[in-house]
Amino acid sequence: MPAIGNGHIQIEYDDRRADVIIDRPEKRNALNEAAVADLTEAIKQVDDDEDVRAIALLGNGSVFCAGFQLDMMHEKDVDEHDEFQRSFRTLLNTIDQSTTPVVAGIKGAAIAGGFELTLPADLRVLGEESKYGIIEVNLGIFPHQGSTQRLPQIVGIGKAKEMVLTGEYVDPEEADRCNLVTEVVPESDVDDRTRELADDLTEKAPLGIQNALEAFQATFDVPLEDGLATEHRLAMQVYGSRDRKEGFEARLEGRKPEFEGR
Amino acid sequence: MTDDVVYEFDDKVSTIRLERPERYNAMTLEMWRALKEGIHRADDDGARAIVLTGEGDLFCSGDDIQSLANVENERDARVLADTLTDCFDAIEQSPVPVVGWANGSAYGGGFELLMAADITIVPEGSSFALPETKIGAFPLYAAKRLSLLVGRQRASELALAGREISAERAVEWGLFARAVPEAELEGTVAETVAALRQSSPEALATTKAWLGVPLRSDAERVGIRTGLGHLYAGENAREGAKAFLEDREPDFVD
Repeated sequence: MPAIGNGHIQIEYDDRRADVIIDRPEKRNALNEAAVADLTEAIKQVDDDEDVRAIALLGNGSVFCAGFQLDMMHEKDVDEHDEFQRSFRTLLNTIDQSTTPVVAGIKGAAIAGGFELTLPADLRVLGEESKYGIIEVNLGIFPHQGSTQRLPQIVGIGKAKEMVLTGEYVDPEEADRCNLVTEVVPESDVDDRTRELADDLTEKAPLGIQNALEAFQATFDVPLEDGLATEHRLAMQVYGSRDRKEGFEARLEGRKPEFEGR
Repeated sequence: MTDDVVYEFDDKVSTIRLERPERYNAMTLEMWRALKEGIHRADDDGARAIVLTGEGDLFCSGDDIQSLANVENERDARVLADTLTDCFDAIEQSPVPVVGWANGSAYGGGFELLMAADITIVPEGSSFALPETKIGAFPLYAAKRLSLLVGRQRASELALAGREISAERAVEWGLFARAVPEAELEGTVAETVAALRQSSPEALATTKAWLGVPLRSDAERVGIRTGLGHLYAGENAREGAKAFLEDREPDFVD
């Protein structure tokens, strides 16, 4: 398992899927500066890799990510927090802007920063007994890495306020019902199901997936007509591809398409 | 990084100098990244001002056309768009004010760098143009900012018709702060830096942030990427760069 930088993150390659694995099980995969730097580097590396068509974001051990290291959070002064939080924001933006789809697999727990880490992912698989939520108001602060901006886009502002203000974990069935996650599965199935979903994505037309993800970058930012125009331009790029011809030909011939990403 | 961009920090002022005079400071992707890194570093160093300048006769002749010719697919186009956008964003969003000291004329991306700086001083007798569309490319910073800076018709003259304008006209149009005789250039830059030092860094940073807000539009980054991707999905962008490198007229298809 090749490790990145400080050794907190592992990358495993399996055919066209890359698993980016938080590897600090002794800390319940809690994040510190080095882990955040490693994770950012890992995501960039696999997103840039043309042979990787989907990314599974996982945690080694029984817990996906317990959040930020508590002692670190307690000890840092305001300037140090400013710097650390900026780097975490860069990590989340990197995941958000990745044109390789990211499937996050949450088992055991994804709490506070660990919860917010999953928001920019494209799909989320949640364990049916996992602790999933943003507890920051119990710690003297509020969740400020997307909970008030990305979360409302996913579940609506009402549900987002409920989660942020009460600081309570969301029941996994409720998370499924309110579209916060893609699927809820038994805890022991989370990693496999996440990899499976990512593998399904690797079978799709890479340019279609990439340009769809690009188009989604504009969804909440621009008026409808501008978004539709961007969507159209991105689509016309894909229509010029070899894969488009292959995709429709395969369908007409009743066979499976072979996509090459061009 | 690269030797073509030099960073100096002295007396709380960061100077970033383009040093590729043998190629008129034409910008490679590495140079764009180094420039961006320099802007970030100035903030880390606690600089009160950043001075952006160049070595040689010209401030900067624009993108190194080989970088454009090297774009083979959409992924490359995205990398190019992001590299340039990251650099311009760094200048616009740095809490440290950026003073452009034009040591000479500037074209294309070089002209855009001077536009992006907060206060740019240019020498009388220098000239400026945006020739990008002539080689099938587009001035991605000017395209999104110029209409607001100079009005749409003047922006079109620059960006669509490739009109070359004098230092004086550029100042008149609001693109730069001042055009001064060459002999007064260094002194005027020094005066500007001294004036900036009289303000508190936070006051400058907050004011600068608000000065920039009206310029920006929603979802710019994806729009610029899409625009560049669209150009490089066709043949003309590659033909334009190739023709330039081969010193001939491009043969654009309709």
